[in-house]
Amino acid sequence: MLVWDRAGCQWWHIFLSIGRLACLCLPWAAEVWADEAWLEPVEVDAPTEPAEPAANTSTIELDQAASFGRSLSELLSRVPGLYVKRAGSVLQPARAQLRGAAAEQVVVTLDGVPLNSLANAAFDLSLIPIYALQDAIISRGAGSLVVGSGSQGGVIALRSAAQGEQPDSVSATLGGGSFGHWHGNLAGTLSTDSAAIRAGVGLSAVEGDFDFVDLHGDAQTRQNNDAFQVGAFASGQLTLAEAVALSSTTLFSWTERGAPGPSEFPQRFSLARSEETQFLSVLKSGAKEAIGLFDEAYLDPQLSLAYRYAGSVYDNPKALLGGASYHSEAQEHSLRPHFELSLLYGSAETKLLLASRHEWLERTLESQPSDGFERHGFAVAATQELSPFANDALILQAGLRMELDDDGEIAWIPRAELLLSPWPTASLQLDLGTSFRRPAFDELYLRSEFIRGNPELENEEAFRTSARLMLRPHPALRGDLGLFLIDFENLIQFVPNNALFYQATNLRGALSRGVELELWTQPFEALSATLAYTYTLAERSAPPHYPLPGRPKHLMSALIGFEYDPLHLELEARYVSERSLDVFGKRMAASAVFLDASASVALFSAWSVSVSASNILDVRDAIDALQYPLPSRAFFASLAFKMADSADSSVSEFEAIEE
Amino acid sequence: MRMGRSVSTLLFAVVLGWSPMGCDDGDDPVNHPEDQDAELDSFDSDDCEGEQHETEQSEVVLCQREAVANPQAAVSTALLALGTFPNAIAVDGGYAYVVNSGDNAVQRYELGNPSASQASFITLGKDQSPYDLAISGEYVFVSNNLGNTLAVGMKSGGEAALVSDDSIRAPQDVLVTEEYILVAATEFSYPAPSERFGSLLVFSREAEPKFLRRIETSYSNPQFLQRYGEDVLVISSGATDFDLETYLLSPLTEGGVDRFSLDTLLTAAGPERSFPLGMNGLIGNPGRPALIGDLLFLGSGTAPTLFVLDLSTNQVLHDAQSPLRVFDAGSANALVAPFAGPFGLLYVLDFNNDALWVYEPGCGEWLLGPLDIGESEELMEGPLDLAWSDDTHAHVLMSVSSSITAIDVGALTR
Repeated sequence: MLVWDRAGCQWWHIFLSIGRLACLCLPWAAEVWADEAWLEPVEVDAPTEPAEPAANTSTIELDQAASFGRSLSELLSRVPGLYVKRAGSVLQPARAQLRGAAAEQVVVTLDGVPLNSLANAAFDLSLIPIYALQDAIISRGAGSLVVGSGSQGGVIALRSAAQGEQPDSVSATLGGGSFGHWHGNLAGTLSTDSAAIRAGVGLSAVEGDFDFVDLHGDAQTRQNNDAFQVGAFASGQLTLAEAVALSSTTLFSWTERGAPGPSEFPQRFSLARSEETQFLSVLKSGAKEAIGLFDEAYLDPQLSLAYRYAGSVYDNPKALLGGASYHSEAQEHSLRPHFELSLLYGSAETKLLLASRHEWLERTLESQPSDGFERHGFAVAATQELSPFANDALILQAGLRMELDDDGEIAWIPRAELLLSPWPTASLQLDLGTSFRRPAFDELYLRSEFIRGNPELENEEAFRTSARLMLRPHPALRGDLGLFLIDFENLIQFVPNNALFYQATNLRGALSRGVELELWTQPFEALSATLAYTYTLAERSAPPHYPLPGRPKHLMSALIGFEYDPLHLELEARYVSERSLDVFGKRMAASAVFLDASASVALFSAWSVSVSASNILDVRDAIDALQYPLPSRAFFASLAFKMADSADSSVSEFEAIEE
Repeated sequence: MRMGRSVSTLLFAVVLGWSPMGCDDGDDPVNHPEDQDAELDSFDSDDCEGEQHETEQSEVVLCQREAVANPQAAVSTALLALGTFPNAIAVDGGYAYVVNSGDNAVQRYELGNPSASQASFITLGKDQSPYDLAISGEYVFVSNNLGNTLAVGMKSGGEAALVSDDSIRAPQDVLVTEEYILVAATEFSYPAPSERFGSLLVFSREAEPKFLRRIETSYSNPQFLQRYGEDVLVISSGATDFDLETYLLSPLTEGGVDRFSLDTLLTAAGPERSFPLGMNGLIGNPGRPALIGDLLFLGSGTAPTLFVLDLSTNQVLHDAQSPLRVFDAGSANALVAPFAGPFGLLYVLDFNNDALWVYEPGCGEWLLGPLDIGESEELMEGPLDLAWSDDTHAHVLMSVSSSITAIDVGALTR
């Protein structure tokens, strides 16, 4: 029993003092499971892609990002329809939104395993070391049959650097820059005819003491914004009897950082710290090649088992009135066996997926006994793909996923897709489906003095449809134009229930619709340019139709690349329009233009030097969340070394400076 | 919504000790709202005193006002956007001043042109979390709840000066008199004190206020101050108990009112008189005061009820055992805040339901309510404070949605 004074609405004063949990932790929720190979070719050792639907994805290469001091969130922001809300500088929380869907409505996977928090459903992109990643594939479109719950906005599939066949090599990067940012990583690969092993380790740190202009127009320096991250990854691949392939991937990261809180309360949060641990291990097995059945029929079985652990600790020694401390801890575990069977016959393909999950959360909040929650789930999904014409001028795909939770509730995800390519230079893709999101553990069960879960919550529902016209009039010119609509119902949000606390609530819903445009051209071999624009109108269904917070109507980016060995230059401009910072649309973040540049040059045979500058225009009053300033102009320089086995003709010694 | 003229209210007015005709002609606010915190020298309820207790038990009291047919037309929502966690509003000289707790600032906007708003009109420094304000002459005094300071700003804007003293602990209400600046220091900390806590702090009234003394209150958790003639009333809410199983807030210790004489404020050992208000289930936690004549109405932070005191006779008319009920909230908590307004009526804000209720003390009848004063159909906006922009227009501070709702109360009743 707590003795607590909240008369006179003092609750938000106290609420403010415990760490502004609502601001950083409310956009959560989701449980999911996935496998990136669901719609993949029969070769099990080929790079797997979560292409779903295949015609509506974007791929971002990440293997050189560490050399430029870039964060994952910065690079993902290049994708049309994707906006990353950042809470500060490098290694501070960043969450991705897609097509107006919140972070808890976008599933982030690593090598096919969902990373979204069991507690709050969102994933903080800063927790995965970027040097451990190879690329990211962003899937937009109708409800994901692979991932299931929580993918109303789409899926961001990260692929670790451990994936795929790679030559024997050793590589290292060391760099440093503004605000005490430094980074170093080391990786190596060793292989034989039937086995391969790859491993890497890295360290990153930042002081984060950047300058900004606060809401009163006064110049300030961000305090308690330092961070330290250590990460490691390892993978092994083994072929048994030339028929069965085994692979294993393990990734670990530990991030310790300041939690500087809202900029108006630097002393209150001057000692606030958080620790985040991520651990992931995946074991996969399958036929090395598809098994021939008869005539043109093939069978491809794959089995995987994934375990994920996530731990978080928050501590603020002087959070509360009178200077008392606040402390919380949480540990998440999930175990996911997954079986997939593909049957190919002629131009048709049928896939069957069976997946299970067991996930549990242990949490301790200040002054309360520990809580524990768990749940199980089972999913079965099937897709059928038809390509009636030999030139794939028409591809039809339909699928259905069923999820059964241990409460007996069944949820469905139907999906249909059409890809029409009457000419080689033009194609049209249409998709249609529904999706859903189960409430996260916090949304169901959280019991703090200020935020309360709600066991009576119903699933979020979403109807989604989109269309995309793809034009390829010339090898050096292409353009995509897309339209999308997502109609959310039973939207789950933490909202003030009364004068005492927030509570997770099923709101009426929201509607997000918009336009995505992407143009790419390469007028000369050395020069390329990409222009991306997204218009998003995301509003609540209930009058007066407040805009959903953090969704800019207009996002535009222009990327110019120049590549002439041994020099590589890149210039990027991004425009973000005004966006709401609160659920009532009353307080707005001003529109802003950000300009970044980077350059790298190869030296000798294995060395390269990279330099980069971000926020060159030195915008100092930019924010994505109330009183969480974004960093001012920053520079970064690095030296990289990579020695690869030159016997492998597919890899250049200069790979380190190529994208 | 309840509307229509009451014709047969018996006994209720007697319990209230209020003349049906009152001392008000029905056209002017009984107690001009600007008096509540900001005004120094206008308190003119004395004329009423002789009429307060002449009501006979058998007298049939007629209400002087009735609700109009479409009171919703008098409500204009989302007049302007406020800052982060707005908590208090006061009006002075054609401007409204809003304390934005999360911004450490006082926002100012023109009453005649609300879009002419300056969000950081007075800045208070970091880590302050301002709570309430009082305006006197050219000065704006602000209590800083987390910063444990008293801020002195200018009505012309700019950076405020901070007054510190060890006695200033979790201050809330601030009131300015002719001689003093008074601060209600709740002295709340976490975990909650196990003994009685809270005091009235007395500062000299000057540009650089000096701490004069601390006087312990009779009840824990003093949160509001009210001027009454040559006296000052300190309203203490008492400690509360929040149950994590039921998420209900209930009174843990009783709240009450201490009455101090301003003449003896520097020498008195304690209050001249104290009024315990009791507790009864969820009923307790007395809060915001509203003065109509000699009647002191107090809101509640836990239940949809009002407490009522007759200050002329020093009688508690409605305590926790026999509260004046605003509405039925079932087994849930409520937060209601009364404000004295035009036509001798009491205007009560219902925080949890974004509603306004109108009560006529003269006949003891609720004339109107609940009147929806929020903009959103599904999100709670939390009306918390109210100031009068003129004789009949209220600006209601919606603390959750950070906005102002304007109400033409002259168009609510007739």
